[in-house]
Amino acid sequence: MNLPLVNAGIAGVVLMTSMMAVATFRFRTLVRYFAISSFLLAVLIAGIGYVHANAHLYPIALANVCFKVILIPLLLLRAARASGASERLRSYLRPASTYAVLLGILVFVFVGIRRSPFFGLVDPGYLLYLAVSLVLMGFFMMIARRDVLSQILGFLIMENGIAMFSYATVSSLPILIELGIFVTVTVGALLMSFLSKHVQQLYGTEDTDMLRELTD
Amino acid sequence: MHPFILFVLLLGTAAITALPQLSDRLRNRISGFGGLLGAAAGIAVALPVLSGSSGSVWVDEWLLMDRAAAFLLVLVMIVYAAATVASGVYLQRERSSGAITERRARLYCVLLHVFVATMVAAALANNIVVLWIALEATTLSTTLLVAFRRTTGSVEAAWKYIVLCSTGITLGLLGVLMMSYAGKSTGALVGGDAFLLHALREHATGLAPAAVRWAFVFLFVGIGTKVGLAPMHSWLPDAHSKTPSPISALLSGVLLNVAFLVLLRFKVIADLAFGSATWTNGFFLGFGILSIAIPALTLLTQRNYKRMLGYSSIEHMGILAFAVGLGPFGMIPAVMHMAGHALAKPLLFLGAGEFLHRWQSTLISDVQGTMGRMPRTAALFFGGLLALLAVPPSALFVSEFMIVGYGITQHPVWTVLVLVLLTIACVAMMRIGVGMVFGKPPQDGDTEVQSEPYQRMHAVLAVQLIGVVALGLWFTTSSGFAFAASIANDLIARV
Repeated sequence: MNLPLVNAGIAGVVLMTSMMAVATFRFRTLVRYFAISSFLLAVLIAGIGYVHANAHLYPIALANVCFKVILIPLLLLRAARASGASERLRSYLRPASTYAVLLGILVFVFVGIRRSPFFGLVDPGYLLYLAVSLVLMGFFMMIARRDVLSQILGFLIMENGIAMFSYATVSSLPILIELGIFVTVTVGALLMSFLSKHVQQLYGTEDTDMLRELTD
Repeated sequence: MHPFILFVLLLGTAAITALPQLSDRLRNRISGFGGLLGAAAGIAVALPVLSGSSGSVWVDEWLLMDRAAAFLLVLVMIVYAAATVASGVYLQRERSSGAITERRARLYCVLLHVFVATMVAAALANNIVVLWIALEATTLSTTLLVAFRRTTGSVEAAWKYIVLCSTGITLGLLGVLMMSYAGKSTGALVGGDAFLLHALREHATGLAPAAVRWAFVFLFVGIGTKVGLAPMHSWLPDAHSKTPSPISALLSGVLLNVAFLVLLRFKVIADLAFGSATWTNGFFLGFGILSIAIPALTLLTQRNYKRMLGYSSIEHMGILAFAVGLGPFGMIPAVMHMAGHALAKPLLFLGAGEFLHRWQSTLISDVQGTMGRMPRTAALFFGGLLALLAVPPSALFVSEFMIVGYGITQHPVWTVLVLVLLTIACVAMMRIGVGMVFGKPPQDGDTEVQSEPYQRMHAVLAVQLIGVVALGLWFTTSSGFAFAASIANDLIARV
């Protein structure tokens, strides 16, 4: 079996599932896509570890599964259930426009990466495309969405991209520090979901457009 | 004393105050005692490095304490001590009025000490990923304190705070990784050394300049968000105005400085990699001027005195950035400005907290003529305001005088613009401050001048006011100037 090719295929599926997550408007489906994309990311990290004989990446892949595939999705689903958040998510853009922007992001990344100093240095090169695309897609989701839950998931997709960038460039960090990053991201997601519950309770909606009390 | 002892003290105090068996009174005492002990330990850790008796740098795999870090540690500890004492007063009042539950008071105590521990870790970290984790942890440990009141305003502020700061810091992580990669890809650094600040600085000339350029952009935007530089500042007035005043004092007085120091660390590496500071100075100049302009204009129409202080913090971070952007000499007044702002701003936030407690309003129109109701607090608040507005002999006068003087020789047009903007901000804040202190009180049926009994809080405010004045006088002496120059020396790239 051609493992590098399998890894490239997995990277493609990670990108696709992340795009579907960004373009979906149902909360449970979004969480599901995020969990699938994070799971595939963990498989990809393990695959890279295998190809490059870097056993250090296996526990990181496992931590990825524990935190981003199980723990964080469960936390988000629980917070949404507890606050009675609506299943339907809000966005400034329609699904078709969202896909158009996502395609634009992919083209922009494809062209932009070739001009960056990192082009040609990262092996395999598609990891860089994947990482930067995920960061921009997550960032776009945080801007385009009008509800707190989508913004949390946008942040997490962006973080997935940065994690990918880390494995693509500096290969691996000491496990203690990796764990520190996972814990930091999880605590961040936990706090955001906690606040989203309060937003829902205080405003009766998770629409961020309603957060307008503090203006000058 | 090893700096790790400081973390043990801070986190130990947090752990003890988390015990549910403690009474309010005992928890407050433990928190206060632990805080003061931690502050004393922090100063004891920093002083040998500051005085040069243990060499100028303490460095290992995890910690980097040069004179700049030691200086910042002392500032953090001074404000921590003030905030600890003020927190005791705050919690006692809130609990006795039934405004908060015992559980909420416990949460406050725990988060206060954890927050300071994360701030110290960010100031002293040598590993840049640990530094990133610590910086993000400062946001996470304070989010629930911003949302402390659980009102619509405080929850909104906390949401904006965590989303904007976490997103910014996450982009900063991208910059951190790029910076390490810039070292690894050229072979200048191998293994874990690529993540150490001191190693990156030592081998900066071997880093790939193009990669460093990208890294610096991400770091500037990411950490600049945490510093509160415009246009990434929108979370700051919300968060700083909704947080309990002792926490606002820490957020505004020292956390912004800590984030700024982190930014300066990466600037030094970038400057050495480029062989010139011109490119990064442009960033600091541009964002600095913008960060002075936006608050200066917003202050003209400000109706909320805690938000006014928040905007003032953005303006002062702008002044710092502008000073740094002027060139190597600008770092000296920048150091002086950091110290002056770290003392004056907590004074004002704590004073504002007293007004809020008395009037239960943050609207400027509701809090007028405080001199007649709370003469001690009002006098100290007004003294702090004058110090913040750089009235001599405040330390901020010395720093701003030097910044303008040096700026005229380097960038005359921009400096004149900054001077005009600072004047606008000064007039706006003075107008508000004079009204709050000497204005006609709103008709609340109580027009007689009242006396105000002495409280612990007055001593805290007075010490800070004396500090900012004493610092101003000291900076005008040769030893004070040499001291600021020696701190600045750690933050300048010799190219």
